[in-house]
Amino acid sequence: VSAVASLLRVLVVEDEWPARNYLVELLEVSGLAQVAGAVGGIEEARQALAADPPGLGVDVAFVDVQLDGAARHETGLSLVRSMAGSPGAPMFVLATAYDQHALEAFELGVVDYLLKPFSEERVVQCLRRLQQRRPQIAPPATAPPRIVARRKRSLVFLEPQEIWAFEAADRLTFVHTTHGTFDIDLSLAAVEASFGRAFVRVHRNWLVNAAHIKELERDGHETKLFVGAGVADAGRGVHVPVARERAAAVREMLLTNATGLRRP
Amino acid sequence: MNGPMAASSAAPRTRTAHDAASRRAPAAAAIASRPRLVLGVVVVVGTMLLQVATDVVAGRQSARILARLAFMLAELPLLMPALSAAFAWSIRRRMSAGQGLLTGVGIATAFGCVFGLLYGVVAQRVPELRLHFPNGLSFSRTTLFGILNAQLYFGLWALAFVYPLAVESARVRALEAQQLRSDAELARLRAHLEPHFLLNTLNAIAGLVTEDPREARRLLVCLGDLLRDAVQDRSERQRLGEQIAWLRRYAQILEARHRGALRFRWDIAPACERLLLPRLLLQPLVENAVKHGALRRRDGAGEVVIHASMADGGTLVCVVADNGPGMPDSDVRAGAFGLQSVRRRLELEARDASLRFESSSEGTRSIVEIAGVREA
Repeated sequence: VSAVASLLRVLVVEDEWPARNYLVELLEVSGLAQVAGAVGGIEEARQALAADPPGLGVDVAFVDVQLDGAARHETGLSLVRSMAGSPGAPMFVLATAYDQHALEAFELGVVDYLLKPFSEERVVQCLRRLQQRRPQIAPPATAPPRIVARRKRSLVFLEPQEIWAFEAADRLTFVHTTHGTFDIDLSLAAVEASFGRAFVRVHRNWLVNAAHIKELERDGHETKLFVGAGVADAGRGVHVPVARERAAAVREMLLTNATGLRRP
Repeated sequence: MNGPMAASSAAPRTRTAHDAASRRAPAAAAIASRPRLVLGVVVVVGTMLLQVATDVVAGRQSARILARLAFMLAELPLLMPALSAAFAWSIRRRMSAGQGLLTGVGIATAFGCVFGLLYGVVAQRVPELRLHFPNGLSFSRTTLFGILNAQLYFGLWALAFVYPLAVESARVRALEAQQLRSDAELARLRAHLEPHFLLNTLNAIAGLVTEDPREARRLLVCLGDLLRDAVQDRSERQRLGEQIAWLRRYAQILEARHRGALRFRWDIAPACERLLLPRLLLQPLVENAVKHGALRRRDGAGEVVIHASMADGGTLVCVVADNGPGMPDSDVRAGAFGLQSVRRRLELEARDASLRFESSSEGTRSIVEIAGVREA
């Protein structure tokens, strides 16, 4: 538990899809951080970092400086500028192609600068620096990590147990939950890396919350799962295909964690 | 905007001036120029006539006026070419302005000396001309008069022959500077892989390597094509078809980087593909449509449409349209977002070309119209 509590909780603010996933991946691989959320714009970042209503409670925000599609003259630096020094503000790390804003960033108390392209070594070095800077009286890390999703322009904060499954479709990622389906600004691999501890990859395009699997259906050679509340006919949930090569492993996993059905 | 006509006529002149300057010593070439010579002579003769006119108005004796006139006619035609020759020589010798001035003063002094003495001789020999100074006639005095008078002629010569030259060379320098500026601009545009774009694309590829290796390879190929084009120094003009092919690569990279938030559509009339356009002219328009248009939609439905067709009367119309929230009027008017370079290239390179914007809450359209485009 203490190891998990010492992980830095990170928010990634990056407008480009592959860059966002890459940074999440590097942060997770380091074993020093836990990605609490990844958003694509300044407005979403403000919501995610807002103290009231309580947002994600992150220790550090990695902010891309050049955010295309931001309002005119708004950059990642505007976000840092507007939040730096305010109570409850996280530490900031800037990500950019050039460190042309280094002076102002230094004055704003930005902890580090990540230059693109990112590298694993540099991210680890940055996280170590952050750990040293982290306030010693850390907030109680009892709150379970929440997941941030998006519905049009507003953010939705989800508890892991509310999530049924993540789906990659048509180059986008969706999250199916008890509250409906939302967009997630991360690839399935990045989601798996950051929130995937309780989730199972049953298909190239599906990551499923094992706790919500209700039915395992076999239809000829196809294996399917029903994930959600209640059972398929009456319940609310999603039907999830299981990749043929993973069917056996999924079945095995479900059976070892359940009693009632005799293993053949 | 200065108007495409003014700019297009200025461009070839710049080249000529530049070529002439590089082939010969600038001043020697300039002094020999016939129009400037004529202008100088007109200035000198005009000034002399004015001086005579003031004498006439002041009622001086006609004999004396005639004598002065004769003097001018004798001294000036010799002094002026001598000064010009000395000027050219001092330029060749790379003399400083001070040294050149001293040379001129020296030559004027020598001529003044000779003609001052002559004045004294003539005044003595032909008293009917009444050239005597009121305070008596002496050779030293006439010589001094000649010397001082010659310095005035030197000043006149400088005004008539050097002043236009200075103006001309300042103009040439300004045009050359302009040319260099636009050359630099063009070079930058030609290589339009600005470091930000390059570094961000490399970062995207680094991210895709584990997650989507096929996509990573595809982006590497796109980036390679763009780089190749930037490195190969080709002509300033390219076919619209080639330009569109480049832009498609560029668009593929942007689509991959903003996956789920950006799509491109292309609507290019086949008849336009062979038309010659300034290289990568449309690139800044596409970049703007993406950054300040399509990506400003937060619902992920950003779209950029590139359209090219021939209008009536052989005018090429290219439209880059986005479905973003539109830009405020002030921005459209100011041609903000670094679109000045597109304007400038249209001015420099094409006659009857225009760039205009139509913006509403539905999106922004940048419209380029070029009349009489050649084919290749």
